[in-house]
Amino acid sequence: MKQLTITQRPNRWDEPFGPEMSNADVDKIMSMPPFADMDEAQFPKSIPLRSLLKNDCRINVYDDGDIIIREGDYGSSAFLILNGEISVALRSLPRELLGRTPSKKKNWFELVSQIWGNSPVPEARNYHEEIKDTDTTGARVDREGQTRIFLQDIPRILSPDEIACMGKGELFGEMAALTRSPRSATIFSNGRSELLEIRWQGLRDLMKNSPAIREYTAQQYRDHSLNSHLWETDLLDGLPEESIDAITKSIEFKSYGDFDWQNKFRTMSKKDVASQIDGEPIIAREGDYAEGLLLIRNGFARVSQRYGDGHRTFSYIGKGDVFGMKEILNNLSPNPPTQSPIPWQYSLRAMGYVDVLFIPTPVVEQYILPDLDPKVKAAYSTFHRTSSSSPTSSNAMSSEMDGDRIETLVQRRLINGEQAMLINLDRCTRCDDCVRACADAHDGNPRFIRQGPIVGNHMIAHACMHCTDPVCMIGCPTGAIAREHGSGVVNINDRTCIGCGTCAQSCPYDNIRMVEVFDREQRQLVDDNQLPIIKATKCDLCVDQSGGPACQNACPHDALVRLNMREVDVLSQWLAR
Amino acid sequence: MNSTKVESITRRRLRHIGIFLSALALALSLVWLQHNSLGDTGFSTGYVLLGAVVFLALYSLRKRLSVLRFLGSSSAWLHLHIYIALGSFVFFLVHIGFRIPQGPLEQLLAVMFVMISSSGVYGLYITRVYPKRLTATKQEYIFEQLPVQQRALMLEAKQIVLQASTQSDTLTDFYMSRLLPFFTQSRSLWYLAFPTGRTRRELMQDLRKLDRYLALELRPSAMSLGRLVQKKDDMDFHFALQGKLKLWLFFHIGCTYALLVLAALHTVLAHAFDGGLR
Repeated sequence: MKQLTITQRPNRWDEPFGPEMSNADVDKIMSMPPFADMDEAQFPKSIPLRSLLKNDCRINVYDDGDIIIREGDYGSSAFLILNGEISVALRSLPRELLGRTPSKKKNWFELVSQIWGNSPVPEARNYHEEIKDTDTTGARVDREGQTRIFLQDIPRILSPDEIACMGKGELFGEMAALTRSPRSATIFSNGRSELLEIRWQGLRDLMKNSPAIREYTAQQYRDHSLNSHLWETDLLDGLPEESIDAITKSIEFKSYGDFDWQNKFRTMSKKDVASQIDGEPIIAREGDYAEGLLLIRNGFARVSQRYGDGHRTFSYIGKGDVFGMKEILNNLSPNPPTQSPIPWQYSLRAMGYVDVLFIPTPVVEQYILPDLDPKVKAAYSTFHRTSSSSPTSSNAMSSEMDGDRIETLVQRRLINGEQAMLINLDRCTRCDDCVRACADAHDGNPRFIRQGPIVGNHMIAHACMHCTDPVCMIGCPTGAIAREHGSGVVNINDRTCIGCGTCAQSCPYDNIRMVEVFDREQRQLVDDNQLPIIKATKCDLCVDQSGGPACQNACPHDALVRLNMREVDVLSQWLAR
Repeated sequence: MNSTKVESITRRRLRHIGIFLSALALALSLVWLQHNSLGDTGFSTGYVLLGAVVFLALYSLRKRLSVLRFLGSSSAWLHLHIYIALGSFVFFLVHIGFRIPQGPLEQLLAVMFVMISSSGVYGLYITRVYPKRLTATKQEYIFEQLPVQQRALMLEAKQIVLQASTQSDTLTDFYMSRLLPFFTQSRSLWYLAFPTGRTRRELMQDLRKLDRYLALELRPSAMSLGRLVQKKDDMDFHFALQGKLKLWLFFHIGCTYALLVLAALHTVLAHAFDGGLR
């Protein structure tokens, strides 16, 4: 008879975001906007508003200068100012000022001990060991035992015009939390402040059930985030502030597609290519008047052109890329001068969920083109109708990658990967050294499968790609799956994972596996009802080890590489090797 | 996350060949100088050879220590392994004086060295050629899962035939006489050594010939069986080639341990019996 260890089955709110949140705290929050105006009946019985506030929120107190969020961090919570004031740094601060520490790596002894110390039991867990929080980025410890980094002598670091202030009742950090993108600015406390931190699962449910929060969030974005997003765009780099302000006033913010695109992806991917393309929302249609410039704020868009009765995929663009510049430049200075204005030469379609910033043509001509770098202008001016090079940006497809490959990568949404595992099957001897190395680095458990879709003679293996849009993070009830500080690696906290399988089902690429777990004595861990405890597992890019991913390091034939699919030039070079 | 630099394989190969030839030329020059100085090149070439063999043997250890990333990538080690192996073969010829050694131990050592070198060259060949042949099948199989998958295929074929048997015996008879052995039995040793598509082509041809004897409603079943034949043949092909890719390494590494023991013994004896005029 199999030996079992009975343990408690975890639930969504077993680990509240703020264990010290009390009913009195919830009452206080409910009396303040926007919660005071919310209708509790709009929330489902399984997720009542009061429980959501109690379990998915916590109250943080900050002293003067305390850094609340750091630019570049991958955060998963939003903040509502309950009392006091906060300051937003409008420019990037030096790294050392932000108290950043690297992810904890295994030391030399821990690395070496993996040779003999790996468990012979698959998926063994040491739950009796205390997990210590090693994210020590603070310079002092506050009265709640929280480590805080604080900025000293702020006037020396930032001038008054480099700071924007926010006060009571204002919300920030919500766009980064919801779009799973890095924080766009560093924010610190201006005097003493009290903030309600809402983790993104709670924010998601608040937005879903409260139209007021939904509209509020959209307005906040326009007021606070849009400007910094424009500063980030390469094309607008170097423009005077007055131009940026003028652009901000005229910009239109548009969204296309479905935020939860991954739920429909599996069904859609079974359809033929033509049907899939027809099903994608049109952002710009080939042949329509080129009425402005489109900046991709988030997500991916397909660039296609009519071919016969169908549409052929030329390229894909993502965050930071622009669409329509060639047409605007061409129409501003037509060659020959008598040529009529040309319409959009390509169609742009939303793949999944896309945020777009639309700048009308007159604004582009007045504020962007005069200050545009001549080299950049020249690059965009080159327009070959039959060329396979993208009409969009420097992240475009190079002429070395054939259309079929591009189409396959786009159709399967593999372009989402920032660390996709590509295996050149013409060099791979199927020795599985990569799998063994992965297992050695993970206590004897490999975290990927050497199988996956094949594009030409390359396989994209079932290893977590640490996507630009990590949809696996949607729906995690505990926040166990999150992006790590600094590295950007999407990692799963084994401790807080409740094994619900939401991430595994959300992942469009089947790169997350649910496993039953055991203790070191080979006894299966089960709950009170004798049901096995399950955990989500996936590639973590060997984030706790120096030297990068073990798989790539272990391949003797240079057949395996981890690549960012957005770096199309590098991808083309590697595929053509 | 950092972006990856992609170097052309051809450029890298040319660079490595250049370095290798330069290093080999330098080493041989030193041996030649020593020889012209009436020095005993036997010990110097012998120790170079011993050092090279030990280093070459260390590669299999490096593969087991993949967690120690500071040791360098496996790819870098393989490149060094190939070039040092080539250089060691040259030194081997110099060491034995370009003639067959005398003495049973030395002869055994020489035979072992040649065997390992030959298996290394064979391995280099198959690791460059076989992957492309495997990729050409357009299917990927994991070696250890093949028996399970082949069994599933066999059951699927059986199911198709059982369903067809309710209408006619023609397909069933064909299955029993031609396809059942193909699906249930292992391929011959000759096939595993030299896999070809001959059996597949014959079976497919016979299936096509059978078509005119089948009722219309049974032809899809015959087509399905044809697809299964192709799939089974692909699996067998993968089994043969992947098996050889694993087996040669087993042989290559196994012989290396024997060589190390013989080399150590030879070193001891060479010193013990190193009399000669001084």
